Amino acid sequence: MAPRSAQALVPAGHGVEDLAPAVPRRPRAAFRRGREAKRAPLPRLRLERGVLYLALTAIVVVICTLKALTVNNFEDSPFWATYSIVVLIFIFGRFGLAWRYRPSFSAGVATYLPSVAIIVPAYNEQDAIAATLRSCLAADYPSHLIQVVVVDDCSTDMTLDRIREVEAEFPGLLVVAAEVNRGKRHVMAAGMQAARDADILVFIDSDSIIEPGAVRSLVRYFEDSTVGAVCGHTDVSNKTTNLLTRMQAMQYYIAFNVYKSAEALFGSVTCCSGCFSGYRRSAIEPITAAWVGQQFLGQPSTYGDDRSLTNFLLPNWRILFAPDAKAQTAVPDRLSKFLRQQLRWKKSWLRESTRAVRIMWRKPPLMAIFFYLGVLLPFVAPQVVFRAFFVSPHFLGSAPFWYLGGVAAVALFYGLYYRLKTMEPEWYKGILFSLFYVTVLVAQLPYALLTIRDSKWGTR
Amino acid sequence: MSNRVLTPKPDGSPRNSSKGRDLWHRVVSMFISFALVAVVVGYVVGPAAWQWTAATDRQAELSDYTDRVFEQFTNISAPPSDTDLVAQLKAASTSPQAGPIVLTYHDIGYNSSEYTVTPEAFASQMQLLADAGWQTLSAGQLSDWLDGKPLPPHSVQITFDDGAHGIWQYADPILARNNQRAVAYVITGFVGTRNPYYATWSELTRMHASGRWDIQAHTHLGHIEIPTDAAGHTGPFLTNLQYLPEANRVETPSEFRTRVSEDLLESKKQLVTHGFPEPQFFAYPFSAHTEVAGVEGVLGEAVQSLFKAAMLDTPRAAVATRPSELAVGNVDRMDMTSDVSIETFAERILAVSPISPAGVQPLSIANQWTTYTEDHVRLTMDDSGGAVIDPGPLGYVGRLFAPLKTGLWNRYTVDAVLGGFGRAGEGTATGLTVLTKDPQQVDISVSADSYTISQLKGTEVRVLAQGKLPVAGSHQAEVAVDFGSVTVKIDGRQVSSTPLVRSGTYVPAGGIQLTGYRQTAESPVPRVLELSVR
Repeated sequence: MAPRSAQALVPAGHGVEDLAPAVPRRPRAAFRRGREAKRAPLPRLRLERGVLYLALTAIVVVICTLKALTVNNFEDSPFWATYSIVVLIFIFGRFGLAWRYRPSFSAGVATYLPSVAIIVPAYNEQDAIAATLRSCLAADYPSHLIQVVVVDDCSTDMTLDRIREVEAEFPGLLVVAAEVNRGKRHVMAAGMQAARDADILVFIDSDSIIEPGAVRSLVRYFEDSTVGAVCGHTDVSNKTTNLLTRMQAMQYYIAFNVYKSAEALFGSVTCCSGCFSGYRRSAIEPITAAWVGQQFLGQPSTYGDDRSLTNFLLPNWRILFAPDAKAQTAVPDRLSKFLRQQLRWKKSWLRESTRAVRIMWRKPPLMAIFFYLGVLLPFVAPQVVFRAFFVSPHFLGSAPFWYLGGVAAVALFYGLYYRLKTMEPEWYKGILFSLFYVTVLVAQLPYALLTIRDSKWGTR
Repeated sequence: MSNRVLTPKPDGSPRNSSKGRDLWHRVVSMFISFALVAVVVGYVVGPAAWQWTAATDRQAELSDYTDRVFEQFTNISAPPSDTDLVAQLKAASTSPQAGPIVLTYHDIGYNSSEYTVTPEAFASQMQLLADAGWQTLSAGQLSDWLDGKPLPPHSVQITFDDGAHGIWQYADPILARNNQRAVAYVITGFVGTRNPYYATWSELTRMHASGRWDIQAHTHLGHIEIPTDAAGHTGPFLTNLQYLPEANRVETPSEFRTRVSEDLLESKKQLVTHGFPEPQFFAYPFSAHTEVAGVEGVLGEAVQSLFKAAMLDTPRAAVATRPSELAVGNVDRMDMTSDVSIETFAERILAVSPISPAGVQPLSIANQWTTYTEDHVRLTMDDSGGAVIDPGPLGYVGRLFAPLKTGLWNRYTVDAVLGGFGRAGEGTATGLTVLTKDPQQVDISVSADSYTISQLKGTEVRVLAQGKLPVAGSHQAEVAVDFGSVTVKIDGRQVSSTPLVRSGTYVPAGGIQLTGYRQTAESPVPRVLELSVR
């Protein structure tokens, strides 16, 4: 059983794409300082911003120049030359799209206060559940309009006791205790049942913590009646643990702030993270049964509940990203846990991609292109690695410097962007580690494909 | 378990008993598992195998590269030639006393190098020559010319340096369809290497066998730069003393001589070994033919001892071979770089199309004159049709008649009336030069009452004849140049006859120059009243 119930942040990537997401955990004071700094930057800060923008531009310029200089490659190996150009456009294009995403609200948003239920599915989460619940209960929202529901999936540890302790302190907490273990989707559905009169359902994983203003920030996106779901921003709470969590912190930040923003520009976020996302009840109620009973290749679909739920909504609803609604989650701090989590995500990505490809062509062309590239490129990635590490060294005697150089340049780009946006002092720590993972994670895709029916593996 | 995935059930399958359903489920499940394994293995192994095989094939292709014959591109189209340019080339002047017009190319193909001409541009240039009825010369014709046989009128020689692959893939089919020919100067040590830059031996053999190509020498491995000092400076292989790092010194002149001679000899040997005729011509890499101090003349000597002549190369200009170059066995060429438009191409050829000395009235072609440094300048004419050669007060000036078109005149007679004089001692002299810029150039200078015939010997001026004349406003001079001598008559009286020195294939040659000299501001302006060549 996985220790965390989270799901699905990264679009099951390959290669550099897997340098996914992450965010810094900063005390709120730091947040405020950050915002003030944005308004009136100190000279030093301003200088650093300038340098970072220059460095980011320089990376793009250098890569483009190298591509222009090696344009001969099109003659020698047109496929790989095209691939490399497409990958570049894919990587940097999303930054451009994300930059264009500026959420806007109508005047009515000030008075828009729907009833909200925060639903926390919990299973064997005795160490984290209390903090999660406390953060939910401390949410800044009119108390007669908010209900916190926790559903225990018949945990075998002390989880339920911890929940009861919190309940004793906050009698308003609604506790649902399942009698048999049925899996996350059933638990979530039970939570929806319990919070029958809420218009907006906010799901929070049992190891995540939300900021006090996060619910209010998230909910206001639903003022637009075409919006069916909104994904909040999630940072990594345990980033200081080691290099692995440092790397994930960076990846989370990019995956949310860049990838989801880019998708939200078209109202088509492809995965509302299980860590912290809100749904309109009228949007998910009709499909809850289908979602809970989802099967794939003859097996019940268990993990990937969040991506799956998003897919149910994508055809008919706009799905947005709320960069200002912030949560924090704990990420795997050991390699084996991390790899297992990645494998799970890849499997659910594979499974859900078979559904999404049938939907996304109806979205705006740019969105569709980027989505289909996002599906296609990871499948080519194993061949790119094979080529860089085996074919080229064997036949041309050339070490994979170009490949590693390209990956390093992109990792550095991510790192600098992360630093620029968060002012994280130890931003660089995740970068080198990323290099190693890019190549290891590529091998996971075929493995995930092979074991895709083994839905019990490594999951709750 | 749901049976959602179980759609078709073949007849006879036990659909009613739950035991049968379990079995059926298991069969389908196994089938799906096998399919998955097959798909994943295929997905990983298939493209990988394809990549590996493709790379293996490519390597095999490269390993027998030197013997390969690549496909030729026969579909390079040339637009119809510009009718104006065709007409101009058809009308270009010709002369039996002239050198070859030689064009240099390097690679034909598509890359951004200055020395790679696109197939389309090359095709247009060859089309223009063909449409204008110009001939292309073989190496043999060049050799015959060096032996004294005049070149056919309206002819050029097309040459390619280095033996790049494009001459086989692009140039050869274009030449073939125009019935044109060319000379390839190949770096014998590079043939078939640096894939796919250099043409292969098999391709060169086919080119030679087609009768369209002469294969000549462009060094064996000497088309490189070598270190010339410990600091890492480099210079062309053939003209520099090589730095020897082990000995921490540059090579001695005798080591230089050996290295250079061996490379040249090897290039000849390689061509013969590969079944080509022994090359008669050699092209200097980078056109570098002037040795560094200490070994002056060594390279030139080695080249001359092994080849009949050597080719130079001048980019970005119209050039014709000069007698001084011929004297040391060199022929100059015009480099047709990638920036040369079809108009520039025609312009450069027209700029060096020779004028025959027979029956020329140079004063009537006032726009063909240049300064001594060959900048175009319009000749100043007076009302009676004579030329004013005014150096200004206290000066000397020379005016050359079409030097690029007359530079190899070697048998002609000039009749000139040199004048502008008033009285003796006034400080004005009017002159005529024949064999201009040849090492044996002869100058005639006349004043109101005297004449001087002189010849340049190195930097020294040697007076051949000098004498008094009756004072007159002008004097008539007749200068006859032939292979053996220069004979000068002033006012109908022979005053000098100078024998000329010939050596090997070199014959003294050169066009004419008018000169003017004024000693003081009061000296009258020199004039040439009449001028004709026959």
